[in-house]
Amino acid sequence: MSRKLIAVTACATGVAHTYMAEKALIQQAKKMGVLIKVETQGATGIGNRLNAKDCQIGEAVIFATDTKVRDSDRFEGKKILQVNVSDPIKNAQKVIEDALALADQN
Amino acid sequence: MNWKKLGKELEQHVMTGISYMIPIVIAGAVLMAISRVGASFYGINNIWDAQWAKSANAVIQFLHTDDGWGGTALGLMFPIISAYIAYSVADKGGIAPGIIGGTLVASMNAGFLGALASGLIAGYTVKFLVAHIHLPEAAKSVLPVFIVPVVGSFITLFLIQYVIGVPFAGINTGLAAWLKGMTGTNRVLLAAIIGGMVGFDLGGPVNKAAVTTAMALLTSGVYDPNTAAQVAIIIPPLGLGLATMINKRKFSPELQEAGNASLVMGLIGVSEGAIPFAIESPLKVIPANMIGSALGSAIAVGLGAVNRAPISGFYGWFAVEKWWIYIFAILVGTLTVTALTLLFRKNVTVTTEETATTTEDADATYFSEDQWEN
Repeated sequence: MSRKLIAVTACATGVAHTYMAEKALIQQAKKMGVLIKVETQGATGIGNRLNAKDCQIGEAVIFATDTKVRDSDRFEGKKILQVNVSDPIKNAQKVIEDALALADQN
Repeated sequence: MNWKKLGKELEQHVMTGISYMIPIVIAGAVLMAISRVGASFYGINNIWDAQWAKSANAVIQFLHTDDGWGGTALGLMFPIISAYIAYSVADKGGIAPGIIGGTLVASMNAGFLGALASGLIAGYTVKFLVAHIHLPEAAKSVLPVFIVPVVGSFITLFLIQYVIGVPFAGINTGLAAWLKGMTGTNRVLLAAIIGGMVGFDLGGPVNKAAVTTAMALLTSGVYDPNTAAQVAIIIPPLGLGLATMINKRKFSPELQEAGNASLVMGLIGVSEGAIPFAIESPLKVIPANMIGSALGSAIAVGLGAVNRAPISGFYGWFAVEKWWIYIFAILVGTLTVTALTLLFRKNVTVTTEETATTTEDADATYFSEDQWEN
């Protein structure tokens, strides 16, 4: 069974980095054989909204955000890896590995 | 208390506030720019003056009104940033004390720092109230509908009025006066330093420190740092993108691909487009970026271009005062980055096997819903 992660990306302006981080995470996860769903909280609203089921399935949550995560109560009780929105753009592999390591911790 | 964690938390609150303030500043600044550029065609350089409200020319009259609209929008800057910092700290309950505190900050002229303080005070006050006041079940709703807005606002307003307001107003006017009073070499030097900082780490901490400071000063009516920063933001991605087009042999296929993206990102004002280059060979790319950005910023500010909006993308260029100088400065900076990059780099031996894998699209649906759920 594949590993599963969920992520939220958000940047201050909400037009570019949010989506670059999304793309970087998805590309890298695909390369690593990890399934990932990424929600984008951009200037035009929330994209690919994670529903309750997604939140339950994801082993850990990556917050690649420079701003407050909207509706963060959905992730209550989850293991959360908080990084800057630029981190996955620079090194998505490390972010995903860190998230998987976090999910393995007890 | 973990200081690093606290710093990170505060940064996130402030960035949230800025993120909600940006559209307001852009709306206000561009509305004003339209009225001022429009007025300049009639030879008017004080369109905000009340005399134009009664102008016989309907267009001039409208331009005066439009300038007022811009002012209305900009007047909301401090209330909004304060409200959303508080929101970031304490959720919905923070907004009312935050917006009220921010309005007091605006009327006391306590500036950007005052607005930051107001948002944090409002947010943490509300957070404290919610965490520490425990009411019996039957009276629970008194907390969010009465205690939080009233007590939260009272404490925030009290602290701003009697503690931080006056000293912060002093700092604000002092700093603004000092920077506005800068002339000649110092002004150009300041612009060059800001440009170099922005070009240094492309969206990293140094860049963010420079851009955030520039934005803060913008709200106090000091425009040079913002002009410098906005010019510098787009020079690295444009310069590196251009370099890949001029001489493909010096770049691997991945970087050629990144170069196209970099050009587009540069045009819309995102310096991170240059990151792939900075990662690949930092010692060649970072100096080129810093020199190009510093030069562009120094030229723009030194020759008197003024960008009043926090917009670096091309769609903001024509709202800049003396936009021809501004574009010239971007051009010089960009060509400098391009030239230095091409000078520093050697030809790469092209490996053709990699080309196929790089263009793959990011596709959110590389797995099925079934795989996800099982």
